[in-house]
Amino acid sequence: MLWYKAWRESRSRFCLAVAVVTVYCLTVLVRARTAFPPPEAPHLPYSAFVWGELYAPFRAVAFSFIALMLGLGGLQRERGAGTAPFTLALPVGRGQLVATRVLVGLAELIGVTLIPIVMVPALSPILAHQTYPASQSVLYGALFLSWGIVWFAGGVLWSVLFRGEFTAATAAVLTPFAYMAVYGVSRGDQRYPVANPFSMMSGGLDRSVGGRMLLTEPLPWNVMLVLAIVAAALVAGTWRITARQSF
Amino acid sequence: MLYYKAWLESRVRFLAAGALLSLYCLTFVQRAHLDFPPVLEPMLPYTAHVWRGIYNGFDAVVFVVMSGVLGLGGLERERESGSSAFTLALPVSRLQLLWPRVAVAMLEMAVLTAIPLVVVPWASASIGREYPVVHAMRFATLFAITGTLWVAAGVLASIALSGTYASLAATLLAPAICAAAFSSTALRARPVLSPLNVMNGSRLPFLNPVTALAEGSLPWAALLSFVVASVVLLGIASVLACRRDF
Repeated sequence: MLWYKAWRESRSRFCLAVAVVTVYCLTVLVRARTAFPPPEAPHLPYSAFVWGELYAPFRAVAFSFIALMLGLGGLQRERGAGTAPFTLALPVGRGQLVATRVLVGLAELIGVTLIPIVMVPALSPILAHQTYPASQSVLYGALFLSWGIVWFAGGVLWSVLFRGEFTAATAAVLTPFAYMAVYGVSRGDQRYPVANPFSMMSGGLDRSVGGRMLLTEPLPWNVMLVLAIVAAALVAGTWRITARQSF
Repeated sequence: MLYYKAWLESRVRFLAAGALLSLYCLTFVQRAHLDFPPVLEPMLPYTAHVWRGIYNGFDAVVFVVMSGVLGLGGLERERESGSSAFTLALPVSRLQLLWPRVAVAMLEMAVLTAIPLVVVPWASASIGREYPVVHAMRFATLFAITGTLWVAAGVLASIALSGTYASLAATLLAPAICAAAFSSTALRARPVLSPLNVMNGSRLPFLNPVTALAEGSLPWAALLSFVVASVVLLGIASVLACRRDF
């Protein structure tokens, strides 16, 4: 029942994200049939075209917003709406409520990530008369997801810290920008290039990505492990804060 | 009183956006003291550096996103929190509740456009560089007029969609859809129709490609069409607001 509750609360955001990503992928593939290669770059490889349309840094920013939005919700929101007492009257701990919401949100995030992973390799031969390796879609999807879970966990944390819906949402929306502002001020692009989320999501850590924008090196597993630990720490912090809240 | 109510409801969003934009503009210009000109482009004019970092960079994205977010709120949100009955008990119509909210959001958006207008020339002077105020003013004008479109989209989403997060998601995805439409469809050939291009002159003739200053005549026809589109969106929002029966 908790799963269904978490799904009901987040499904409109999830469905909206799925609809937008699906329509966008279809648009890109249909456009590739007539507009690829572009006249200004007649020798552009199809893989680079796909990268530019789906995995470039600006797309990573949009994906980060989706991840942050899926992380919002929970007891503080219900407190604002006056329904928290009903939820808290259920015979479950607050930790279970948080855990369920996190798992449903993660499943939704993975679902959104899977859309280009499945659509681009499967539909490229049909719609664009081109081929795109499924392995590359999986690799880029994994890179997107590695930072996606951090943004998602950030959204979850903001949602338990602030009671006001728009306060949590504003904090969530501004999180990537604030992070990049701090990153820029600390000259992170020179000192910690691996900490640039949008560069990493777009394959920027692969030194031999080349003009075809195909990943050739192994995924940066150590960086991804650190990101998973950061996300887990944020979720654990959320769990602890929720358990200590006294309303 | 309704204006004060609208201000109280939106001030956290506005102040957070204002603080972040101010901090970013200030630190970006201060960093230019250390990293300008870039090693790979030693001849890059300072104005082009500012355009890339602020008017075609971080500042523009935050502005677009937060303009939409400022348009959110209103009766649907109050309905969720259970306070709409108190607001509806006031001796004013739903339209009288809506328009102060729109006016405050537009004003807040206009103030956000003034942040780079003030900070960039002032901070540039403090590091011994010059950024012309006139051009900062022109970019602020472009941001403010295109910003009405994002505010109107936020207002419409907040009325048309039930659920705060659904309207927020729609508002955030609106610029992304717009960017995608103008980069992945036949509209790519018509950048003058894209608010994301018009707001900073990207790929438009009025922007000097070397100095990145808005030297040519501003695209007034496009700006007028954005204002008309904003009015249409707000008109639809008004009609929807009046038809609500809670």
